[in-house]
Order: sequence, then structure tokens, then C-alpha cells
Amino acid sequence: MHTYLLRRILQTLPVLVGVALIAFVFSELAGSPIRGLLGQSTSEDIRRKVEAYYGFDKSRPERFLNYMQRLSKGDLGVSIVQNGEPVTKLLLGGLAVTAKLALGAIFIAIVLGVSLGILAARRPNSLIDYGASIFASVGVSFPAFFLGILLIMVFSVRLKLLPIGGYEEGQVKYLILPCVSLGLISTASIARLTRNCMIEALSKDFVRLARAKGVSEWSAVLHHALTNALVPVITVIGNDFASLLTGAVLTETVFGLPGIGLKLSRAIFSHDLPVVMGACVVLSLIFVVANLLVDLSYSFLDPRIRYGD
Amino acid sequence: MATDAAILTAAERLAPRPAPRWAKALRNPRTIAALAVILLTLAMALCAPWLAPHGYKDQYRGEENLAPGAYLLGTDDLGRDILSRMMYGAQVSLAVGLCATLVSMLIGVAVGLLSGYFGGWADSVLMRFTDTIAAFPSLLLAMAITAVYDRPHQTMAERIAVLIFALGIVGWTGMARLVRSQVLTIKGEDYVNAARALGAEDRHIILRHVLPNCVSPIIVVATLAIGGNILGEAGLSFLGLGVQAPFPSWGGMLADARNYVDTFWWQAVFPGTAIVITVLAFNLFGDSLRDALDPKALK
Repeated sequence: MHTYLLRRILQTLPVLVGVALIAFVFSELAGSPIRGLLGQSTSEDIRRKVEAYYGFDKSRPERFLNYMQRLSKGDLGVSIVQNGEPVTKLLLGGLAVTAKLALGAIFIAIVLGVSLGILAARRPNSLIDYGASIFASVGVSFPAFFLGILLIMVFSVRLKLLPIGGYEEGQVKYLILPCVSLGLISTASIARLTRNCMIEALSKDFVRLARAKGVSEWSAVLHHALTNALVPVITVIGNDFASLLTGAVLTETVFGLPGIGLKLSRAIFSHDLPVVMGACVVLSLIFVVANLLVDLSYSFLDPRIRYGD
Repeated sequence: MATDAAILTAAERLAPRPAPRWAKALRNPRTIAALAVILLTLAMALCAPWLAPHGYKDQYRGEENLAPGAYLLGTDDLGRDILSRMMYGAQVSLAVGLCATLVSMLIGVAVGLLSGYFGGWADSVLMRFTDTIAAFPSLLLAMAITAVYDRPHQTMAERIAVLIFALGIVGWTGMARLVRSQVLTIKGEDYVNAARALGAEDRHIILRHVLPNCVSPIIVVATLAIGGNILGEAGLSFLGLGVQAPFPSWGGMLADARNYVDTFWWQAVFPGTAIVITVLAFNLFGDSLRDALDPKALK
């Protein structure tokens, strides 16, 4: 287990270097930010001195090593638009909100998706099954930001139950609609997969044995079948996490929720490339770590999966 | 013997041929509906200059924010006809959705073929590269690419090319893995060994024997990817990374409408519904193709 853990963690290293390399290449393509920072009126001489100060006169490989060094210290550069504000500080301010949004959405997606999948699997080709299948098809075709706008129209504008957007620390009501609109999208794919895996699991011998043994229906479905159906579901949740993160960017933009995604979309709008790249690096990092956790969770869910003891 | 063979061919010729597998898919009403929606959207997009009741940038003073009525789907905050703008917006969605899928299909098929056929270090290098790209949240990477290439005074064609390139270059990893796994099974088949024994070159074997046998799964996966790319384009346009105003895109229209959710619902609901219906049609059509062409391998 320990060697597997170590190997799996080491495997993420090239990916992380790849993330940094791609971010670096794109920053390079965008050119030096110094001209933008200093404005057009500054003389060439001063610009060169400032560029040398920040290491822009060095060769590309050298600059990449510098960039990696700064990244490993958590330094993502400075914002061009917001008067040289450190990108790391700017983004860390939004991390808590994005984390709350993502976790809330995953919670909704898992609870709703798995229960819908179980209900559909227990009665294949029933009304519930058809309903769940239509919901799943429409759900995967729905952009999260459109769903967000529709929810605002119904729950904020018509029914006046929830705020139309914005955020206040510690107030759950600002998070409900964003979490629902982001979560419902992933609910669709989770429900579809849970249904298929559960139908297979329910027909297995160990479930029939459990039923023959006289365990309650509840226990046969939840304890015996579900734990076996859950591994592929967890994989999909891991894969879905990518669309969840990009969905978070769009959802935060719709609701004006001040997380990393909103900072990213504002930075895109104001052409603040260091912030755009920084946000992409941070979000990719979160994604890589999440996938690592998903991989490691398999052996807890299914004791038959062991890694090279 | 010769007569036996002749009888056999004659019998084969007389026997009713089984309908081709794709024809089976067309018997399903779900498939027909999906295909009809796709063709209708395509026709609307292509014929927008003739079909649209108004120009996409025609502004009618004093007729801003009109509810559906005189203008079939209402007008936006600048007094432009929403239906006409949606028709032109369909051009962007479909062009980007289809071309980006084509780009990622070409990259994915090439990587998968080379990796699966040659194996060895080429396989290792290509697959590690694929893993690294797949480790990114793809739309996020597309956002970064489109943001870097977001310069003032870009022409319409340049902007669309950036969108196609960005979405195409991030979306090929699934295709590469699929083609690779297909190639690995096909590589061991007798007809490939026979071709090799006859002295065929690698290029000939890949193009004549291996690739044709991967075509159905490639078509299925590509069809299922179109919807995702249309959603991706809508997301990028919603963030202001799409085509430049005044040319419309469905995502961009939703972004404009976001400011009026409390008053002018039609400005968001119609373009949004267009996205959902189009993506749904492509997804359902892809599902049907999968069921018809390759029921086992892709489930």
C-alpha cells in the first residue's frame, strides 16, 4: 500500500510540471507584461532595466526554471491590472468560496444522483426509470450557467426566496442556488451510471444470497449491492470534477460569487493574463489532487482492490 | 466443387441482405427526432442570411426589450431581433462544435494509431503525453488558450479559428485512448498478419487494414463529442472569449441577458433553450449510433 501510495504521488509530478510548462508557454506567447505595467510613455531604457530586474532578459529555459522556483514557493506573479497585487493573495481570497461551492455541488450530485440511480435500478423500465433517463439526457446537455439563470428567474425573481446573486460570509442562502445549478449537472451522469451499475450488482449471486439469507430489502440494496456498484461511480465523480471546476467558473460568474472562478472570469475580461494563468494553475492543481484522492479511495470502498503489497 | 461454390454464391445473392447497421438506428423514433433537430439547426444556420427576418446587428430604436410578439422571440436591450441573432448564432455554435470535433478526432486518431501500432517507446511517450493533457480540466485549458489569443481587432475568421483550435487541442485524449485500444486488438488479427507476411508496408497496413476497422467507434465517439464542444463554445462565449460583438453567439447572448434576468426573461430563455436542444440532439443521435454500430465495445 505504501509503495503504491508513493508511486501514485510520484506519478502526479510530471503532470504538475506539465501544468507549469503549459502555463509558462502561454505566458510567454502573451509577451512580457512589463510594457503593459509601465504604460506606453516610459522610455525604452527604463523598460529594459525593469525587465532585467524581473528576469525578462534571461533565456527561455532559465526563465522557466525561475518560474518553477517561484511556483514551488507559491508565487504566481503579480496582477497587471490591479496595481501589482500578488496573484496568489488574490486567488487565496476566493479559495474558500470555491471550495464551499464545489463541495456543496458534489454533495448534491452524489446524494441526488445515487438515490435516483437506485430508484431507477430497482424498477427497470418503470416510470421512475424513464423519468431518470430523460433527466440524465437533458442534464448532460444543460450548460450550468443557463440552469443558474433559470433558477434565478424562478427562485429569486418570481418567488423571491433566495438572493439573486452576491455573497456574504457565513450566509448559506447565497450558496444554495449556485450549488444546486452546478450539482444538478453532475447529478445526471451519476444517476445514469449508478443505475447501470446497480442493475448489474442486483443480479449478482451475493445479492441473491443475501436476500435468501433473509436480510431486509433495505440492507440487500444499500449494503450488499450499492457498495459494489460504487467504485465506477466514484471514478465518474473524479472525471466529473473537471467539468465541475470549469462549471464553477461559469456558475460563479452567473451568481457573482467571489471565488477563484469569478476572479478568473473578471481577469479574462480585463486581459489580466497573470491572474488568468494563476487561476488555471491553481484549478488544475485542485483537479490533480482530487483525482489522486479518488484513486486512493478505491481501496477503502472495495477491500478486494489492493495495491502491490 | 465448382458447382458447389457457384450454388453458394447464387444462394448468397438471393438471400435477403441484412439491413446495414446504421439503417437499424434510423428505425428508432428517438434517432429520427434527433437527426431532424440537427438538420433543422444546420439549415437555419446555413440559410440565416435569407431566412432571418432581420439583420443580426440591425438596431430598432424605441423597440428595445420587446416581449415576444411583433418580433417572434422579442428584442434585446439594443433593439435587435432575438430570433435573427439566434439563427446567426447557430452558425458559430455548429461551425465551432463540428470543426473542433474534427480537429480533436484527427489528433486523437493519429496519436492512437501510432501509439497502438508501433508500441514500444513511441507508445510510452505518446501515452504519458496523453495522460498529462488528460490531467487538465480541458475547458479550463481552452479558456487559457482563448484568453491568450484574445487580441483587439481580430477578424471573425481568426476568432473562430482560435475557438476551434482551443477546443480541438484539449479534447482528443479520449479518442486517442480508444483508437489505441482498438488497434491493439486488431493488430493481432489474422488478416493483419497475412498482410505483413505478404510484405505490406506499415503505412499500407495502418491505412488499409487497421484504420477501416476502427471507423465505427471513431464515428460514435466523435458524434458524442460534438455536443460537448458546442457546450464548450457556449461557455467560452459566455465568458466573453467567443466571437466579437456585434456578431451573436448563443453563449454571448446569455451573457448579455444575465443583466436582465429580473425583467426580460425571453432574452436568456430562448438562446439557452437553443443550446440545450442542439446539444441534446447530438447526444441522443450519438447514443443511437453507438447502440446500432457498436453495442458491445462502447457501453
